[in-house]
Amino acid sequence: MRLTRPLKLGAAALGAAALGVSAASAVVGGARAPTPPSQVPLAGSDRIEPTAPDPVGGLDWAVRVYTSTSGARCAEVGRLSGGRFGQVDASGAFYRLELDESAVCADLTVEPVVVAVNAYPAGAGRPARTVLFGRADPAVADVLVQPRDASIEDAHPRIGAAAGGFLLPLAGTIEARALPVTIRLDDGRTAVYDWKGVRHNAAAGDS
Amino acid sequence: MIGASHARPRRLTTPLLLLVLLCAFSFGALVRVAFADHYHVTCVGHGFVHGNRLTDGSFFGRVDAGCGSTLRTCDLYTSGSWIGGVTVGGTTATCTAWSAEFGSYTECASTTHVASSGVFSSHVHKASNWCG
Repeated sequence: MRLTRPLKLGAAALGAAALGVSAASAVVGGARAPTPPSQVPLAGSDRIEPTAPDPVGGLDWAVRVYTSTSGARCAEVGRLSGGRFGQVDASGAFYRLELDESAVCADLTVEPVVVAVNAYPAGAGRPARTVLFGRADPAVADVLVQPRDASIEDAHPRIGAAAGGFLLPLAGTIEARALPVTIRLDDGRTAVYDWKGVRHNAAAGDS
Repeated sequence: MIGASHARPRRLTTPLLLLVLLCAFSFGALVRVAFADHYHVTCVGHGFVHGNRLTDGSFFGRVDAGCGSTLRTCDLYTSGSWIGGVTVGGTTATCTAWSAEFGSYTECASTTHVASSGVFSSHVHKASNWCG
């Protein structure tokens, strides 16, 4: 009977600890973070456009674009094999990627372009790659990438005619900050994305 | 000569019981918070996001747009090795690095390193079921 009180105390403490875990769970949430509606694909809105060759002859690269349920314009980069969109793992094997909430999505009514850089480290069967990609509003006439490394040539990635996707695959791993992007709009205005901010320039002749 | 001590039996008083319960509750809450810091909001939501299940190998590093940020980065690591990353510019795009875009990796041994310019500097978020 002497153990009754300590046992009761221990049981109460355990119960209180469990209650603490439950209460804290209500505050900090569960394991699944909410998916932003700007990421969720609208069924049937996806298409692949454009494609670009790998810098050293691997599978072609491609941008899969879609519209999200919130109306955001999304772009996801991958590889093409037999018309299928996917990726190549570190061993060099191709695998298909289903349409998911994984793209980079933006509101192109706020900014005329969204730019992103994916970096893939080298693996046993996959050389390192850096891919600059994004999606442009129809008002964007040209995208110019001017790498800070002078050994890499400036490039004008082709902009997809239907959905405005663009991409530039590069060999090696390159910091995004070393890949400033200049866009030119139909009206001649330009904007420079140097990964620190956006610098807008008026069209020639504007006061 | 010192007389024999007369130890009185300790009584479990109501204040003591409340103190014990409060300590136990706090301990439980601390444990939960410590193991749940995979995703949180510091002006914008960011961190390690699990896919449909905790063990399906599909997970994300994510930084939401907002709070004036013009550059966001999401890098993924498994067992301490970098497996890939995404950098996003502009003010409206969410940074999302999906593990499946870089290969097949053990979810519970993975972390994401996230940063958002002008909002928070680079820091690590572990999987909620961390086993690394």
